[in-house]
Amino acid sequence: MSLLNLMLREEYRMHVSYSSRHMFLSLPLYIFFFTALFTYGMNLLTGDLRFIDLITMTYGGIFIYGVSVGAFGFIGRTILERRYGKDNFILSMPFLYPLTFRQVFLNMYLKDAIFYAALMLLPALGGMLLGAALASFSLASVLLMFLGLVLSFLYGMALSFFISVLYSIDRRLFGVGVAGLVLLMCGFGLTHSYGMEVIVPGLGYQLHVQPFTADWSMALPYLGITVVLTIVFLTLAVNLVRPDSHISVGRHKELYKEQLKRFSFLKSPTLLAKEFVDIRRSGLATKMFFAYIVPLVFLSFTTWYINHGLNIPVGFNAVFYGAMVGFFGVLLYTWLTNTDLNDYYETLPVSVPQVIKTKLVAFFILTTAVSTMFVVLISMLNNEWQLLWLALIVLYCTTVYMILATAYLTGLNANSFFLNPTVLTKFTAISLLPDLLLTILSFSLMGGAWWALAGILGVCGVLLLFSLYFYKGIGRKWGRSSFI
Amino acid sequence: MPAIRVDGLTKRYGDFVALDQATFTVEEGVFFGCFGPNGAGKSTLLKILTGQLPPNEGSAEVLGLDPLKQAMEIKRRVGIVPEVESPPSYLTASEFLRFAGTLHEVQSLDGRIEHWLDFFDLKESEGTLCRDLSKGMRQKVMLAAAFIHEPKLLFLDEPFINLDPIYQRKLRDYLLELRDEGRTVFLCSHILDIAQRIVTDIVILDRGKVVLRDKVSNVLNKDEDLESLFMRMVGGGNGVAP
Repeated sequence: MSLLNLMLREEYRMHVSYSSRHMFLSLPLYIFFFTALFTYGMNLLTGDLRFIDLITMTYGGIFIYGVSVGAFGFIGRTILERRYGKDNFILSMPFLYPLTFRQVFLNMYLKDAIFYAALMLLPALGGMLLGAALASFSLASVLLMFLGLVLSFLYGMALSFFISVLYSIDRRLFGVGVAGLVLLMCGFGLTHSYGMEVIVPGLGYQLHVQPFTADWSMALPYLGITVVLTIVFLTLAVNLVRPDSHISVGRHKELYKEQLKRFSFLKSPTLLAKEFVDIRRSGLATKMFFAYIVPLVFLSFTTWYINHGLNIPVGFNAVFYGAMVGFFGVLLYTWLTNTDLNDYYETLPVSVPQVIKTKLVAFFILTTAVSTMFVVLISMLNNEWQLLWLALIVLYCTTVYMILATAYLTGLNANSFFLNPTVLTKFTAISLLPDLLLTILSFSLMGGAWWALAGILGVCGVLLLFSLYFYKGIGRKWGRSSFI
Repeated sequence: MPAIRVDGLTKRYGDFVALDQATFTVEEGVFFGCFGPNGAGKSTLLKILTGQLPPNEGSAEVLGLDPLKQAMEIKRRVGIVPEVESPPSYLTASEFLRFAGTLHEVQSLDGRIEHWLDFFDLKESEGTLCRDLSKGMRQKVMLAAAFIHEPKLLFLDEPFINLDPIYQRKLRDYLLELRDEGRTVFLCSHILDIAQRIVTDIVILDRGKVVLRDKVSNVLNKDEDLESLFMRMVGGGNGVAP
């Protein structure tokens, strides 16, 4: 049996272990129906957004998706150590058996490409074809677009693998690689002196085939560049990869006692103090900062681009930002639950709900100041001081609601909601409706509609009631759960 | 009142029966050895008794408490060393002992931490995160955390694994002291020559079933040691084990 075959089986079984085979296999169905629905109702759903901008965003999205799948390989070592401390993966086999890291690394790329293409991209293609057929769109256009998207995904993955390898060779090289990518993106966003096809050449191909102009003399070079760059980055990555032998055992000064003192005003600071030691020593504070700040900056840039770059007069205001920031918190909670294995709690008089609630407290301590500052800053930049009070109410209500909903649904396995369709469906329903309502109501605020203000306050009230329900539900739902 | 009562416990993982109608009691002050081949159900039994797993059938009591409903109360009163050593990655040994001791509401904690760091020679590694310790050192940290509140009952799953001979002996001597003090110890182990020297009562499990439950003095004699008895009970003579 080939190495690739074994790695694919391993990946499949690992994902099945998050929920069940039945649940896992329903994820592609979920994607299929969602994509079909979106494609069918595209004209209605996208409103004033131009088709070319939608395509640009889709290519940007698929490129980032490829980069993030590749980045999982980069953070994989840490994840394997921390999250699956008891398990062993083929990834570690070159240490024990006559296999080279190059073989394993190349197969890892192929495995991820096949696995995620089968899990997400092929069902999405099916959905797009169905939606396009129902809406009488051109099926050839869908197939041509799919080709561009798949190649952009593979290109994003290869780039990410290459940058990961730079990290294992020299941190400075890695810094140069990341800085180059960021500069390229900033150059596009800020100066508009070149198009996004410079960053994602697949987009250049797309803009020269159906449903745009069918100019293959322009489309083919872009397609070729995407393929060549993918092969170049992958070849470089496979040839430069080496096992990370950078192992250092440092000495650490006593921190836990210090944190116990810091939270001594609490009735029981034991768990929270440990949480903050974990956050400090695992480097999570820095990761969380970027995980929070980067989406906020990206959001600000996108809204600015829609308003000023595309000249679409959408009424993004401080209240809208307040709601969005609240929804971003989910990612941070996910990080908090992934800091370390929790097995040892089984030997101590601690319950799962206690640990979940400790992580919630840590989350609010870590993020409240940053999110408040962001909303205040946006109010100041937009000269919307009159909306600040409402924006802050919306921020706090949506944050509390989203984090409690996530904690209630996923407990200490927040990652599972990305891969368990039941949880994903519940999460989508729980988050999408209030998100849509608050967005629409916040846009209506600018017209001075009193009902929009009343509606926002009403939604916030309902969110708080649900938050209370979720909070109480944590004990009920996770009270008898094991940490293992 | 027995320290542990097990009545018809059954645990299934899908089609696999890990524990099959297990029934026995362990009196207080007994050093109890639980033995069996790999997959016999020892760790599953220990997990059920400490409230980590619910059984499919049957019931159990630990210090008069129901592990299914009073797991937290049991964990306050017992010390547990799991099969796989896994102290928290980002705490040092002394920080973890403080963490465990605080959760167990131990008085004069500083003195206790000092004692156990000394006992297991962990002071040399002071300042090193548990994730960077060797397997043996991590095992010592888990043992110290289980002993720090001087529990009435200890559940030890393979406590000698990963320890060097010096600390195997040191741990064995400490466990003998506990036995003499009248505390109850529930030990799962494959290291039969050490176990034979310390246990007073035994149960042997095979494919989830109890195949022997007796006092050591009743079953071992100069003609048959624990290893021979084990082989006889689980069919080791038929090529299952050397």
